[in-house]
Amino acid sequence: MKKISSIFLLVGAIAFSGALGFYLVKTMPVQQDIAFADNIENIQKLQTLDAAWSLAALYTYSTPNSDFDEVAAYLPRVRELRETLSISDLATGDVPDTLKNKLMRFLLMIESKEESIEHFKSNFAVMRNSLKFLPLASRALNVKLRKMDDEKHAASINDLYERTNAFLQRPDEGTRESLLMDLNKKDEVLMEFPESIANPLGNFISHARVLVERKIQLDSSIERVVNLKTNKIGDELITQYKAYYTDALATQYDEQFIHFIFSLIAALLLAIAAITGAVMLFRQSQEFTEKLEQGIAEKTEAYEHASAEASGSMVDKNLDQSMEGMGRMVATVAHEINTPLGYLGSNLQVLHNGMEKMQALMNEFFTLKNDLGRMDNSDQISARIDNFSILVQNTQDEAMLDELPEIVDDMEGGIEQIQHVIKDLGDFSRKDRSDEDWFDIKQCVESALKMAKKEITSGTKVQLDLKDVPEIFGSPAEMNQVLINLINNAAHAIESTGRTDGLIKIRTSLEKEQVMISIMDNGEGIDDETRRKIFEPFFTTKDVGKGTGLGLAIVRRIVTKHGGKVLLKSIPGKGTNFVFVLPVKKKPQE
Amino acid sequence: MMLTTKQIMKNSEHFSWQFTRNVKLCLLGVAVICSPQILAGEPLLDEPIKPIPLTVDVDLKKVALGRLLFHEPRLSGDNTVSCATCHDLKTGGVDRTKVSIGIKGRKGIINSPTVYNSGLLFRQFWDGRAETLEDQIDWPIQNPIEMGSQWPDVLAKLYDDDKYPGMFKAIYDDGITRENVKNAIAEFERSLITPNSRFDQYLRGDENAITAKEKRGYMLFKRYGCISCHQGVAVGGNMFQVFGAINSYFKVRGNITEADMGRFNVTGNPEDKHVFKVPSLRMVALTPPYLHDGTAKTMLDAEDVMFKFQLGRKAPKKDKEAMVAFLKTLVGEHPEMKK
Ligand code: HEC
Ligand code: HEC
Repeated sequence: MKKISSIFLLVGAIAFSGALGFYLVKTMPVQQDIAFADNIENIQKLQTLDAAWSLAALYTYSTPNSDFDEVAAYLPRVRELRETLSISDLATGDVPDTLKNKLMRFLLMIESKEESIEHFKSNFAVMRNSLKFLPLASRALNVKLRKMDDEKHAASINDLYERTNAFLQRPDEGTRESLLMDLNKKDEVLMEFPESIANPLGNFISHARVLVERKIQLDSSIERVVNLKTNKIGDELITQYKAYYTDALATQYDEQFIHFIFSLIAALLLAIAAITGAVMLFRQSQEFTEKLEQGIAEKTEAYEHASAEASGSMVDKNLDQSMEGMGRMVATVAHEINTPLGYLGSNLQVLHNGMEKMQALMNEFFTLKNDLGRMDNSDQISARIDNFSILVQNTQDEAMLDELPEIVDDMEGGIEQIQHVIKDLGDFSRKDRSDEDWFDIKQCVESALKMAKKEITSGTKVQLDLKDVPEIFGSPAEMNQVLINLINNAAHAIESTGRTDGLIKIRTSLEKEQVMISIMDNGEGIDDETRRKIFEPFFTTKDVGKGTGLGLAIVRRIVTKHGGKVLLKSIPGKGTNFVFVLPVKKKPQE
Repeated sequence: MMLTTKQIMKNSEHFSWQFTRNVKLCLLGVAVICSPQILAGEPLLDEPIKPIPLTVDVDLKKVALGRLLFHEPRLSGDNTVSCATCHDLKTGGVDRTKVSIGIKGRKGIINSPTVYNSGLLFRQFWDGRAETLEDQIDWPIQNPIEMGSQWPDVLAKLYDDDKYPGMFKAIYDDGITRENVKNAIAEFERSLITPNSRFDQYLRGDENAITAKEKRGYMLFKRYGCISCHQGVAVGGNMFQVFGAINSYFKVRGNITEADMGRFNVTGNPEDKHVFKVPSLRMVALTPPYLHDGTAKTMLDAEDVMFKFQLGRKAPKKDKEAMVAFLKTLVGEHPEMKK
């Protein structure tokens, strides 16, 4: 009997552990954990690379002498991660379609980023050259045409040149079409000019056309590089993936538990004659359940830890946000500086040419002087002198001597323009931002307006009603930022209505011992719900990239710091009025 | 913040260069001592062209195997053509013909670029269709007008050889496979960098490494705007450009072939018509004829084309010659070139 029961026991135990083992192997959670962690890590790596890649591209864009090696170096790393993810179990395994689709969207976005970066590189490289060359080409043409007394064509070239420049400053589709049409028209009549004009004119047209055609492409590729919502999609993907994984983990353990019970029953049936053994095993199995539960707890904890890290939340987002801000600033500054730099470069080239020609002329002069001393035949002498005057004449044309003063003027203008930009930038990012002093709010409004100018669409009027108010004590740089933010907001609110009769009214006045600054716009207005949240950090109604969502939070922080208050009145569809008041302090007697 | 990164990059470059300056460049088991220069001045770190690193991090066993495979005619369908047939390492890594000739004298459709420095390029082929050196290899092997072979045949021939199975086994656990053949050849190609050109010596601070005329050529290369496209460590190979950026090249040349469509063949995007990878000019002095269609016989011819179609401007002959002189200073050193 004892023997039989121990055989039963043995058979039962084997059956039991076999069944158990089978289910355990089948459900093997460990490997999935690793895959899960890897996937999350790879998505995050890709997000980080993606952000750094944008910065590298912007850096190239805003740095003279830059090359694309660094930007290109991201390619293999991005590609590798993209490929790893596209064959991971998140893409191919047993996960819901929505998750797979999200991953696909994320990967496609990264792929389209690669394309945008390529287009940025190509357009930027070509435009760099044409920007430098166009002023040179237009000037040379002008000199030639004027020499032929062809004022009409000289004027029309000038017009095309000016319009091209204006377009580059403020590109829009309408101007683009009409400009391209006019350039094409000129191209068609090229044959009517003598070759000495037709060639440089052809080149001028080609370069102008390239600039006009590529400007919008370049801007949009930069826009796409900076604003592509990869980070957002990546975050969404991570969140969804985690939610799914926690669920799956829970059901997996549930299922495992059911299987476990089943096998237990099977084992019990099989080992019916060996109850003692079964009881023993059951004890063990209890231990196992405990382990399982502990396992779930551990997994969940690890997962929560990972999610805190993953959404890397605040850190990554901050990086992202400040990158957007920085990106836009870099792009604006680069744009403002590149154009005058273009003039400067090409004008220098003209000067350089001129100098070489002048030098040659001087050498010739000394030879002539030498030779003349040795000549006595007056015909010979006058022939040499005639020759020399022709040379002088030619040099004057070729070296564009008539143009030199204008060229130098232009260069001074260019330098001034750059100085302006740099000064503004300096004002803006002064280290002593929070240095406090007495300052005039009127001046502050004016300088803020200058800096926010770019954001204000051309149809929008700015009305100033700046009453004399006492000086404020505080940080002028910070107040500047408050004003810029508010003016920008007003400008964007108008822009999004698309109206052409936009109006921004800025008033300062003294009311009840307080300085009041009011900025009113007739833009889209703010609804109640938005209004409640509008001062929260990172709240933004704008598209990603249009605003950091920090603007009004900063406004409030700074104004509060100065002992003031921000008030907001708005009628949706009609407009908004931001008012802030600052206390007047007694100025100490000097 | 960005400035500081740049600063760090500069410093580390400076440092690593000083460090490696006198170190032996060891490739293919052949040691070359990079001529230690006496420095006349500071390295030029802010130039849009950067020196090729003096050393490269490669697995020498793989390089040795890759080198054999690169010269192995049995990779082709009729055992007559190896990679080296079209990329002769003694003649600058090219065949110096207008378009390459493959097995059975079949004529190719495009000029062969050099394999020297191909590891520095951001993508492979004129149209950038291969993203890595490994990927690139599938094309010549299987192309009926180049090596006209099939991978199973290639692998079978390598198996039957005396040396290959052992050599592969010593490096790769899974022995002879398609991926491993590609990896070995690619590793060999990565070792084919040509550092220490006279121009690089100049960049590293030896002011007398190039002549006044060559310096002027470099100045012009930058001033005319060649540098916008041919730039970086490989003097090219880091972007795509329309061939005919300013004026249409193909309208003038006519007779447009499929190869002339460039990157369009890869993406199908009309914006990519006639778009090509900007070629590296590092070895340009050794690799005539030029352009993807092989129509420019000399560097001067190629420059003429560039001025007319890529720059849309004119230059006096004197300037073009100075630029050719500059281009010649870009050729660096590699043991294979001297063999
Ligand atoms: C029949 C001649 C021929 C043979 C054989 C050949 N190639 Fe090429 N190779 C070419 C041509 C032609 C191209 C350019 C093709 C293109 O861009 O479409 C090229 C391009 C390349 C490139 C890209 C370089 C660049 O600048 O983009 C590499 C790398 C290369 N070959 C390596 C190899 C290797 C490795 C082998 C041997 C497996 C090989 N080639 C065999 C003719 C050949
Ligand atoms: C707009 C970009 C661009 C500019 C500017 C440019 N190149 Fe090129 N270059 C290219 C492209 C693209 C090719 C390849 C053309 C093709 O498909 O054959 C090329 C090819 C060449 C080649 C032939 C290389 C070879 O191995 O076949 C030479 C030499 C060259 N360029 C020199 C110059 C010089 C010198 C300048 C300045 C005068 C210049 N390039 C300006 C884009 C440019």
